[in-house]
Amino acid sequence: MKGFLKLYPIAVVLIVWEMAARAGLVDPLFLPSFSASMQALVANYQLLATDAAYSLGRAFAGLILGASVGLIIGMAMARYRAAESFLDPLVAALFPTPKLALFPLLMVWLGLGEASKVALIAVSAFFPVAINTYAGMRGVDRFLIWNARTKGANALQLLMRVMVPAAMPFIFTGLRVATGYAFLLTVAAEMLTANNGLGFRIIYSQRTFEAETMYAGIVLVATLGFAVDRLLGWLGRHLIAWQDTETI
Amino acid sequence: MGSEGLIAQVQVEGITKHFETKREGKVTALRAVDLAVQNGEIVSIIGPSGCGKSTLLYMIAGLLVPSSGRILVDGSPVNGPDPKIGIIFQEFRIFPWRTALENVVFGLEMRRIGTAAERARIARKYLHMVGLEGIDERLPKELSGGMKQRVAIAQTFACDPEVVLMDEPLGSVDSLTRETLQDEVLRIWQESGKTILLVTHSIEEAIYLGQRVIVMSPRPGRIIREFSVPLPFPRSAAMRTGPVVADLRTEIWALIREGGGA
Ligand SMILES: Nc1ncnc2c1ncn2[C@@H]1O[C@H](COP(=O)(O)OP(=O)(O)OP(=O)(O)O)[C@@H](O)[C@H]1O
Ligand SMILES: [Mg+2]
Repeated sequence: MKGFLKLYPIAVVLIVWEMAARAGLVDPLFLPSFSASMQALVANYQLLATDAAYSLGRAFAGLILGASVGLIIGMAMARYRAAESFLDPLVAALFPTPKLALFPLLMVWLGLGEASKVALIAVSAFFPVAINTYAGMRGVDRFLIWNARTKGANALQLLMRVMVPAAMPFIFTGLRVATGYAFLLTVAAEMLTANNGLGFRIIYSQRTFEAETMYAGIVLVATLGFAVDRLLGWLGRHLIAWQDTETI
Repeated sequence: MGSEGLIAQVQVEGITKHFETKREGKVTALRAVDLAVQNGEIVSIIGPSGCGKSTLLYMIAGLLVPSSGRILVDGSPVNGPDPKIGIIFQEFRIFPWRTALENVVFGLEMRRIGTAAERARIARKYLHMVGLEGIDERLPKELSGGMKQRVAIAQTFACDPEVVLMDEPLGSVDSLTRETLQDEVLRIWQESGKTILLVTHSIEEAIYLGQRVIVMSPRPGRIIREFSVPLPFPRSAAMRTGPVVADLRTEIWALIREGGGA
């Protein structure tokens, strides 16, 4: 309940939006009222739900792929000197590159279908997970490692039973950032080339002057992103419940 | 101490350890340290802060490599950590994501000793031994500093090492608990027959726990003198305030204050 009360600023924004639209302060083509947008959401329920399913499917496919590879690469970099010296400069150089710039390239390689979109999302999700896994595992307390080694842990146990759990707060932060990127690039990719998904729906309704549907799509994207982030936050709090802090 | 021909369980021969530092260049932490600890002995090491006591224990545990000299345990050179040499760190670290019980079973679990139920039974025994009851399911963040340290002691003993290295194991417990735990350490030592090498900052503790007390000089650490403690076991509360402890204390204190001129 307290959690919900903290969300009151969102309610304030929605109320101001509704009042501004009703007072006729803005052209309804630019800004239809919140209630009109919600009516469009209900009226196009089937369509928007299908779009949402497409978007979530792409986002999660890319996220799972990118995060898994990121986890493995991050672990390898933290564990093997050779992997570190080879990959660290590459990761550092590519991380700041806006991933969307790779999209045309990926389309040439992988076609206009799902593969290029999922690849783009995966690339964007890869970096935060790889970097955080690497940093988290590099920073594991020397005494925890020593404690494990003097108690008979082998290399694999040291990795899986000590380094990974110890780095979990970092890894999880990376995953959360990656999720944000995945959503961002899902919508962007869908706006560029797709005939379904929420990104497509938003740009399509804009082009066809269906402002209410466009806003309904935006509200839906925002709600989904928010919900998934909250879910991850909840999951994180349970996964990292051992952390000696109140919040993560 | 040891009779002729008997190989000490822990044999430190001419150990020197340098560290490369960015600021000061080569730092010598220990110089030409010789030490022999017999099977079943309990020996205390005392010396000023920074004299290399922890470094010495890390090398015996196989965690650091000496710059020169060699270390033998049971007659064979130490190369890398070995569960038969247990260590309780000064910066005692238990795994924060594991409950107290899960921490104590750690070593047994890694080496796949017994079933989960057997491991838990062994762990409870050691938790009981250090005076921790009913906290099995608590995470380290829910334990006090002293409790965590006791979990760390139980964690190391549960692995049943032959040699136990203790780096100021009672550093963060209150003085009441500290005396109780000192007696526990002595009781465990007598019951288990383990070889214990113990670093402490407290002269009284060094005397009360040790058959011998080894005194080190400031950095670079050398062994400047060794005292044997003429007190029988089991040791009693009366000995803490008795003349033997008092006299030894005065002597060791003077030696340390003098700064290891020897
Ligand atoms: N990794 C390292 N790099 C550089 N210098 C080090 C390193 N580890 C220890 N030293 C130095 O070696 C010396 C011995 O350190 P050590 O931790 O063994 O001392 P200590 O006797 O255990 O001290 P204390 O009683 O404070 O625990 C110190 O001067 C320390 O600064
Ligand atoms: Mg120390």
